[in-house]
Amino acid sequence: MLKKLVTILAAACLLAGNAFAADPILIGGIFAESGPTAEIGTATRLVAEMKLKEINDKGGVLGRPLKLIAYDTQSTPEVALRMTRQLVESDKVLALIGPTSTGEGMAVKKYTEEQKVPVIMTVGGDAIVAGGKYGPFEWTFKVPQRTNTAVEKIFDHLKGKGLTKVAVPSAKDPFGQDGLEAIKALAASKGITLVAEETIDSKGTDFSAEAFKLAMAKPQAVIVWTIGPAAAIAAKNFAALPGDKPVLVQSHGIAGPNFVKLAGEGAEGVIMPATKLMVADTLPAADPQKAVIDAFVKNYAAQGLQAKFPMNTHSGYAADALTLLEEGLKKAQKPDAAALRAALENLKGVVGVSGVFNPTPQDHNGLATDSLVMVQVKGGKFVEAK
Amino acid sequence: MRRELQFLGLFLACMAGLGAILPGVHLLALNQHLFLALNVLALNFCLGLGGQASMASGAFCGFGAYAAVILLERWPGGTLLIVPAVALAAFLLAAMISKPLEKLGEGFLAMATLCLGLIFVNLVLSFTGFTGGSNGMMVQAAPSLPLLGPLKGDRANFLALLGLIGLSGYVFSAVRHSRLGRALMACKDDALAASSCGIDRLSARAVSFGLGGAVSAMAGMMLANSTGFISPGQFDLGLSLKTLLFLVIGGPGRLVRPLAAVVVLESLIAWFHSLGEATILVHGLILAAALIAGYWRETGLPRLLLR
Repeated sequence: MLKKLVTILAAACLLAGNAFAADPILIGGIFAESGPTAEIGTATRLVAEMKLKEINDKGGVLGRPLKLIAYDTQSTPEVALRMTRQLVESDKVLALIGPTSTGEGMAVKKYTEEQKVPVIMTVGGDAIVAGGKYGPFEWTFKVPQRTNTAVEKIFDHLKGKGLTKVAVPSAKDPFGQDGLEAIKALAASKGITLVAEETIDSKGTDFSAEAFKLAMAKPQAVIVWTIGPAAAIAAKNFAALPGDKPVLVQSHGIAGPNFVKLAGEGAEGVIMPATKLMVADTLPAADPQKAVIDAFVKNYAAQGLQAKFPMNTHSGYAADALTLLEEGLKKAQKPDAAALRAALENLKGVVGVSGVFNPTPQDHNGLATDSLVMVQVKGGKFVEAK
Repeated sequence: MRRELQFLGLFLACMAGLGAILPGVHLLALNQHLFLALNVLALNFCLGLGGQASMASGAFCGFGAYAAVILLERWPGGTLLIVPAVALAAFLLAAMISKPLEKLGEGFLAMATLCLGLIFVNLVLSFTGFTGGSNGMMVQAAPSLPLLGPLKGDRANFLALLGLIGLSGYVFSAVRHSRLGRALMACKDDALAASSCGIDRLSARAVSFGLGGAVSAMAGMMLANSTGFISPGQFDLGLSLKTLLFLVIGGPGRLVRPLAAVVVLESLIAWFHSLGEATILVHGLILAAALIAGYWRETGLPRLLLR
């Protein structure tokens, strides 16, 4: 009897051990954990680890766990390239997620395209998947919405309100210039007129002069296209304008507690496109993202991330990168780079935190305007803008 | 001069030995350190020889990078003309700028060169059609040499960087031990006295500033080829400050010490990359220790303390 029991126990241990005895599938992560973009990069890595644990707790992919090997890019393109080569040449990863900024992404992209390594980027700039003079993007995918998508969302909202004359202060950096180009390209087709534009420094501390100058052109709405503290400063400056003020609109990179904290009273009434994370509490049950977003919010708080990095519109990007990777591997049926790439660009209806992804060979982002909601700051909180 | 060149030869031999055994990604890291070392050598022409504190290293580096990338894209086979032409253009531009800046006086020269950096970045952002603006440019064509073909890959870039450091180091040593070098030394020690002795301070310093600009431009060309992508953010004030820092640590006016300081300290800093949030703190501590060690070395303080 005892012998039988021991045999059964031994067999059970062997089976349990074999469940994850398979080699892990190695995924490389490049995040800025030091330098100017460290706050975004560190949060991204933590979210990636959280999502990875979730995937592995469900049994991994193709019967194998995923293992994330992450390196710090120090917010510089040269180090990002070096770390990427380390991951590909020394660590032999199958695919990569990250990095944090567009400059790092562009530095990495040339190498990963040449080496045929799938990369799912969490950067904001559209140049990554624009093609043309920015190089091919066969192996490069992007999670955050394209700038065009956000601009289209804004224009649809403004048009619906009968606001057709806009002025634009935009930053000189890649994000700002992407926004200005998209606004100019889409304005005519959406019946929007650009009455004035100004360039602002994303590291500037006061934009009162620019705000006054733009207000003189009598726009019905002002679309501020920058990220970081500059957006909050611009909001304060526009709020301080005398007389009738235009409706203030921010870009899709702003929605989060930091903006409200920095802009103070200037944030009140400001509208912006954001991922549905910002209105998670009020999402209808029928929304296809409701379950995924609720689970993400719960897990984010449970892992202690909400206390360290209060949730904002970007919080889900790393999770979505891994979701796409997971679905891509399942579709590819093997951990092979070429098969993964082909699978990634033919995924359909992948429900993520940032939207429902439908990438195609021509569109390596796959998010449409329905992935964004227009939100407004009311009483220091984000509510859906009516 | 002979002793100086011997040390330079020893440094290059050590680098060549390292380069022969290092695998791909580590060779890329060494290339990135050698790029910075070449930039430090460029600044050494300005500060070490001429006594001019310049914050325009990033600007000249960027000028070289963008000019080479744009011209090579249009004339892929024109490396032998384009590279010297860009270096010469940088020399002339730097020399022309130096004369009016020199009249501002010592304290204001650094501020004026800082403005050069800002002007460069703003020009790149303005001429989006040529430069790609803030999104940067992909490097479409690598420089190519007859018989050797395109300069692609880590080892080719490594050898090119060693060659440039060797050539620039030789020119540095030759200038220092020439009549021009003695004139520059006089200007560095006491500009007024040097002028009183009949030295044309403006012209002498224009040559050293020009040489520094040309070497920085060549460093920029190598960075573009090595990385495959350039953007204005890579050539901003941060690069100029980093270059100045390493020159100060190594000792302005010395040929090999600043180069060795770059390679050793940057390698040490890169080794600590896995510390996450503590990385910046450790970087700062390493650089602070190096600065203090450099100061002690120059002042002989440890010997005094030991007595």
